[in-house]
Amino acid sequence: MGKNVGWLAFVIMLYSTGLVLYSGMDNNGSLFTNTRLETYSWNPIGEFGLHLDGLSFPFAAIIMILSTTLAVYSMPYMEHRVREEFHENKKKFSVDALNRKMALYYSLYVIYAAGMLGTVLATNLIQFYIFFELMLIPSFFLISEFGYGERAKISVMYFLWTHVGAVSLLAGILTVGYFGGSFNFVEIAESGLPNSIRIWVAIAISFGLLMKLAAAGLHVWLPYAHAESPTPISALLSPAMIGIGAYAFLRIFVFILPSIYQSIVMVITLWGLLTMIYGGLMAYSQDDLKRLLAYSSVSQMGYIIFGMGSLYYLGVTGSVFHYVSHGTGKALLFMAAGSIIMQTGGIRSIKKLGGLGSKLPITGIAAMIGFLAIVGVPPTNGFQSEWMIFAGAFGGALESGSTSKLIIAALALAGTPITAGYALLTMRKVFFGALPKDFENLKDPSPLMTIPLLFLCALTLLIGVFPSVITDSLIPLLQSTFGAMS
Amino acid sequence: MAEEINYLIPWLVFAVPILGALLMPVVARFGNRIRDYYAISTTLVSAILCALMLPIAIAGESFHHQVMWIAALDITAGVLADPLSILMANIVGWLSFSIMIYSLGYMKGEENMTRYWFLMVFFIGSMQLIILSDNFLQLFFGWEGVGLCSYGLISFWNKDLKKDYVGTVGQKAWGIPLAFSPTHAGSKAFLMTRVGDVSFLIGILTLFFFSGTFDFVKLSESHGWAVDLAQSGLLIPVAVFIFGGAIGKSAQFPLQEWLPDAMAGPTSVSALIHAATMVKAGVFLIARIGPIFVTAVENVATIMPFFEFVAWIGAITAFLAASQAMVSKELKKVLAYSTVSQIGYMMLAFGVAGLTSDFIFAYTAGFFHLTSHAIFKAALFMAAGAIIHGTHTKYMTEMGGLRTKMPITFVAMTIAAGSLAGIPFLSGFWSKDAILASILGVESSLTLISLYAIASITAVMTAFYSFRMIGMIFFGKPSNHIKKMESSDKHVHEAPVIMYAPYVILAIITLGIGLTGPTVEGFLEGSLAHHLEHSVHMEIQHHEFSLNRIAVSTSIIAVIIGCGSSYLFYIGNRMSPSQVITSIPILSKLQTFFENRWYINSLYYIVFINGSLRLSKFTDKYIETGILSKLNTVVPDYSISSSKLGGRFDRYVVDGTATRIANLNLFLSHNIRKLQTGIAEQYVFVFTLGIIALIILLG
Amino acid sequence: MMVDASFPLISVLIALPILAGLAIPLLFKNSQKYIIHYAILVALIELAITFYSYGLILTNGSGGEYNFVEGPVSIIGNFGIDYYVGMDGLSGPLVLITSILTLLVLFGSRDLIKDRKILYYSMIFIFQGSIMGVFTQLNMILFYVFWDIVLIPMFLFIGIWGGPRKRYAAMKFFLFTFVGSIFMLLAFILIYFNVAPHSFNIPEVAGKIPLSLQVISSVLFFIGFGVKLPVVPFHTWLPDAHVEAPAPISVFLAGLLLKMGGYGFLRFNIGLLPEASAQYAWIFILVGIITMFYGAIVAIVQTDIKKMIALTSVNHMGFVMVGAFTGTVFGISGSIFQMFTHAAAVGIMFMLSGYLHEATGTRNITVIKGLKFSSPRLATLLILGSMAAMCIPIFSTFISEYLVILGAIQVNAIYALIVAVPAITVGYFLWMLRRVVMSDIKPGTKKWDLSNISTLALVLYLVPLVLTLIAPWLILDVANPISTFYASLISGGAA
Repeated sequence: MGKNVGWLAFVIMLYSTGLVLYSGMDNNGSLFTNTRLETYSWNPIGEFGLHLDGLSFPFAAIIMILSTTLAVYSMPYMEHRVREEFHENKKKFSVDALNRKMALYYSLYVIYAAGMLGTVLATNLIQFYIFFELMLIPSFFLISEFGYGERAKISVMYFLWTHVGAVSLLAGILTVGYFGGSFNFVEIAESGLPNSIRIWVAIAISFGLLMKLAAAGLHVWLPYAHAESPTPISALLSPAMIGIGAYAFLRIFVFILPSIYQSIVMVITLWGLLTMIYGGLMAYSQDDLKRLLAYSSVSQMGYIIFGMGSLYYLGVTGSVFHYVSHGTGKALLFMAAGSIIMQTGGIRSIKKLGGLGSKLPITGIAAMIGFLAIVGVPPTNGFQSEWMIFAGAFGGALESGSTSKLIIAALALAGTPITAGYALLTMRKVFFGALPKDFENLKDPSPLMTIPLLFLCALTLLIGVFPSVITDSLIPLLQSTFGAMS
Repeated sequence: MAEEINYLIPWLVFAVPILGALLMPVVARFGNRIRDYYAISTTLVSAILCALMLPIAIAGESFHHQVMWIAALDITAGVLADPLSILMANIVGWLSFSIMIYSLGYMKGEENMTRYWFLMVFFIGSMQLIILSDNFLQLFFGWEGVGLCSYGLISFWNKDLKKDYVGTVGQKAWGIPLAFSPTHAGSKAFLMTRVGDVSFLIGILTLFFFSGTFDFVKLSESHGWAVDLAQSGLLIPVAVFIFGGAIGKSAQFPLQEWLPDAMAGPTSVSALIHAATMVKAGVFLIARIGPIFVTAVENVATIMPFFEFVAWIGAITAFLAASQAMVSKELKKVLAYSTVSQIGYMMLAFGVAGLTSDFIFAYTAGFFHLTSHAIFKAALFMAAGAIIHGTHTKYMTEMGGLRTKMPITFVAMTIAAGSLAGIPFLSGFWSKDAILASILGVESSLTLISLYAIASITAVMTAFYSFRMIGMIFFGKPSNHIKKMESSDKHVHEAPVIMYAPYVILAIITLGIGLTGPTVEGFLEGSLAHHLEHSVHMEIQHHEFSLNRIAVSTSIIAVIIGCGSSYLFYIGNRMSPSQVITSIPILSKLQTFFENRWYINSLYYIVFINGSLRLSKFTDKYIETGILSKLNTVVPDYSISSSKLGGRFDRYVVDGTATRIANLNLFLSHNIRKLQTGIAEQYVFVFTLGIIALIILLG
Repeated sequence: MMVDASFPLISVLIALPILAGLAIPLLFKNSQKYIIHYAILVALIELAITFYSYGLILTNGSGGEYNFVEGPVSIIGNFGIDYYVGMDGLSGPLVLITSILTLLVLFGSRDLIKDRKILYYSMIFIFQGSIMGVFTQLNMILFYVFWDIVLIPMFLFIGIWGGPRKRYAAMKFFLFTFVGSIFMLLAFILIYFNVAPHSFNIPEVAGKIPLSLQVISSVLFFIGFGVKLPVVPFHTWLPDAHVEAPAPISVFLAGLLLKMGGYGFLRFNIGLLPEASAQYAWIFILVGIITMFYGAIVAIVQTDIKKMIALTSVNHMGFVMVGAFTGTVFGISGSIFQMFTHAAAVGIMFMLSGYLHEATGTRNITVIKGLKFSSPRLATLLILGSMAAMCIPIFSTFISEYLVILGAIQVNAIYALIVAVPAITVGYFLWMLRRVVMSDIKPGTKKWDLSNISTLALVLYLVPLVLTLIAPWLILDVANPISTFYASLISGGAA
């Protein structure tokens, strides 16, 4: 099989993507209006189930689409990376050593994707937790085996921090599970939780999830991990994985613990605001391309958190939608960064780059569209998600009639130019301006890398123009949930 | 009679250019000529489609077609073809067509033309999308689309070569350079308009919460939302926030700073985007929503403050920009400032519309001025482009005496400039006059007087700088720069026909409108009145056209003063401006003040750009790397050191005592020798002891 | 419904290994060529029988009461010393893991034990047999006898095949545990005289013990079992013993010997002294929690990887203790499950430490570098093993610990803080992995890696862990009935 093992991984991914989309399809072919559920007995913990509904569909779809796309992208990139690594360690290069490395990469890769998919399909807290950790392990190895820089240290730190978060999450989950009388999402009764411990449950769970979401203050691990992991993995880590924290937050708080959720929304909102601004500010002062993107992820997670705090169906819809937009957008950006790194022979410092627009046009376009998506400019999907987030924020504020909330929402919206700022700045510095002379004969990477880029560009724009693929099932679900709440 | 058109036509008006643009890279593969003509033909098709809609406008009817977009939120996409949008669409369509033709000549031999055509065509599509949209959300797509294209086109020469800079390199105000590279200018434009868009979004999202729709028609049919808004006291804020979007796009005060620097782009771009069309989008937005608000709140609350706000913003901008236009040395910048100032005029008109009992009059005036200005300003820009092309300089000070060398351009540009200045029987005269007249209708006398004063002073300045421009370019002695060119026999010559044809035609149209001013105005008023009556249900009192004596006399006086002074300085050369300015210190002070753009630009840079960068650096230094990143290492280190303590405790205290308690040491030391066997015996011994003890106990 | 023995299953379980062990010297006097095959064969038979009996309990769901009961048959006059054995949901999993581990240890010994094989293998089987006795005896005196017989092979293992300080370690081990056992015996005797009619048989004395005596004897038991488990501060013999013992023996030590403590706590403190345990549960839980944290914290600084693992098992045993004394179904099944999973998890770690020593000639974490380059297989297994020990939920160690924590939460939600322990564990394991596995290799390090067969043997440790993650009911269906019963006792005692 050799290094073409990538194709195998691609086929596997493609197959399950197809399955996810297919089960998302209903009889008249429109995405996505029906729910699929299969459960197996898993004594004594409860039901081991897989559930695809309006909430989990967008997550599942994006996870699978991204991992499929990146499976292709990885083939040339990782081969390059592995060769580079042989060179770094002054080891003599041999084809079957390369093949072994590639095989290892892809086996970890597939498990990783499976783990992510599992988290969003789980129907049981323990099952969720198991998958939550399961996606941690392969990513840990991927960083430590294939990463850049001080990868050993960073991967360990990454594992440790996120695991600390996970453990605190576990504490919360167990408490909920015991007092709620069951670990199955559908059977947990919030009323069972005594008031004395509710606050602790809230703290434990949200701490765990915000750690994953890299909320400001809990984000220390993220810039290192995302900057130093191999680029295709950054492109999965950054949009797909950390966003799963948002899924869990919604699943656990909105659907299972609504009253606790209502009591913490204010904190969440403010934290989200802080995160989006903090991350944005940090992105300004980065010189390393990937670090910049990592910080921008932090700030984008801020948007998602902010939307989740809106306590209004539209805002939460926005958050979920923003997971999708940020997924495609940030993946595009990381992949573009990857192709730059690969073509320029590992240059990541923005200072050293410039004028690449004329040499790497496709990369440039991809980066532009990616940035537009995270800035939230139509016709990219980023706009659809962001207007929903903020409509939700205003809606929630006006509904509760609290002026402070209104001001917060306005502040948040006023903070969005920060994103536009660093996006444009980066575009200018990297793709415009004078071209360093040693870049004269650069060109776009092989089709195996450019085609995924173009595909994601198209996806970004299509979802932007036809948002209903995401919203049609999501909004009614959330409307009813929030309707029941108030 | 009801005019019928195919429902596809309005859709195609913007679909054709947008899709056409997306195909551009493909078409480009068939060769450059084909690509160029393809680009132009797409715009032509779109323009013709616009023309096909005219009958509806003439009949004063409207055509509305919708499709479901986001079903879950009951948000529809649709086109609304009413007189307002159809007229606007035609202006945009045909102007852009002429400018596309002009581009053929102007951009000859440039690189990356595919990108140029793509952006231009996509821009036209997005602009038509803005105009024909029937709801805010869809409009916003176009809104950002044009923004993107303008960003891309301003920074078209993205190599950032010194020659492409806008502004005089080295000129600084408060240490902030006033010269910008194309990509810088582009980013600046995008960011500043973005600020406006934020406020726009705040507005429409709040509106959405109350009305549950983005649809203009729905908004104008049911007025419940207005009642709720008024009750929650958010009516005026929402309106103002929405207007904020217009401020950004139309470069009104306080967001006017991006437009002058947008001149870094090719002149054709300036003509299309930053004079004729995009910057009018804000005006169009007000024309679109103004009536809706007026009628919606009629019986519940007053919307006056909003329109007053609009009027004042317009007035201030008009004055501010005109003052800067008077001192600018760069040809294109003069035109840019004047654009800002003229748009201020239009805003003023639409603002006034809400302040007078006679809505339609001011409304028409605003729209009329929009039309005429679009035409003559496009002409001016294209002519300027031809001149800059010919003289290889952007400074008017390096021109002079060109009327013999570029006669056609001279004539055309003079007509256009005259129209800008408001010379009687040119289009600008009528429209500006209408605006002045409409101001006289304002109820509150204080507002009336102040607005009128500002407007007329601005009129004077306008007249002055228009002819200052003409004078500096075409009259006087040729500058050294020109002489040098001549000597190195690079002769300044007339532009090729493909370039001057468009602006000559536009100049003729200007003349034509000028001669038939009242009829045009009457026609506009008629169809717009219909539109307001039918679709917005506003009652209109129709009136015959009549010249308002005060207004007419004011504008004529303004022209005389303005043109007269500029004639003295620049055309007749009776006295040299530099002497006058130096002789009167206050004037020189004013000049530097204006040249430094009232220091507003510098202020923004110092506060926002440098401010946020400094803040970011600060956070990075003291919080991120200072505290948080340390966690990454400190936490484990700390726990290790603390556990070292635990380790010692374990070894010495716990273990130690435990052994001592068991008093092992001694015991061990003398047993270790014959351990194996010895201990086995020990063991058996103890064990038997145990058993014996047991038996005794049991016994 | 309990299963009756058509033939004496348990006696076979006990007798087979002991006899096989005693037979070894006779069989292999001249050639030791096939000794290992013989051993493995015996172990396999034993395992088969175990599977059979365990399967019966599982399928009948009769973990609640004693199955395959034999006796009581009086052996020494009328002193109440009867041969009386049975297997319930508590002993079942332990018997199972005993047979499994013995087999795996034999695989391991193949590579690591070079000299005095005859004594070694016979001792292995005597050890196994007597452990089986401990887990199945229902007569306290015979329980005590087996309990102490277990010491002999273990003592010799450490004393003979151990490292440099083997004698000190062996002695220390022996005295600690033996002194502990004396207290235990004392308690037995006290109980014997204070129940009427006098009896040493657990089923007969159950529920007849007056509260005052319960308190006293639970203190005595606490010392006796606490030393074995071990709990802080009786744990100090453990690191020394482990450091000196050869790898396979460490597996026995941590995997089975410690379990005797856990078994004792459940069988006697919970089963016989429910009132006392209910009243003073908080003390035991406290001690348990201290043990966890203590073990975890002290483990961080260890430079000898084996010592680190030893202390890890101290903190895992803390879970067993806590689980037992929560007196809840979750907690008790949790601690039974924990004993099962911990045996396998820590087993592989100890084996690996042995191989690590083979590979690098040292066990010093700070010295070993770049293992993933020099011996990838070993490195991978080391990481997987660590994950098992860290309770990462790809192995059932996670489920057992979460059951215990769940039980603790049931008693008092504040105990949810216990989850900090796995976090610490993860911390120092990762630190170890980073230094040993993921560091850059020192130039000129010789490559050494596991043979296929021993790799396979090591992977076998992980099989039960994965299996019971996917199907936790394999253990819990057996353990739950007995834990339900014990829980009812405790709640009765509390009332």
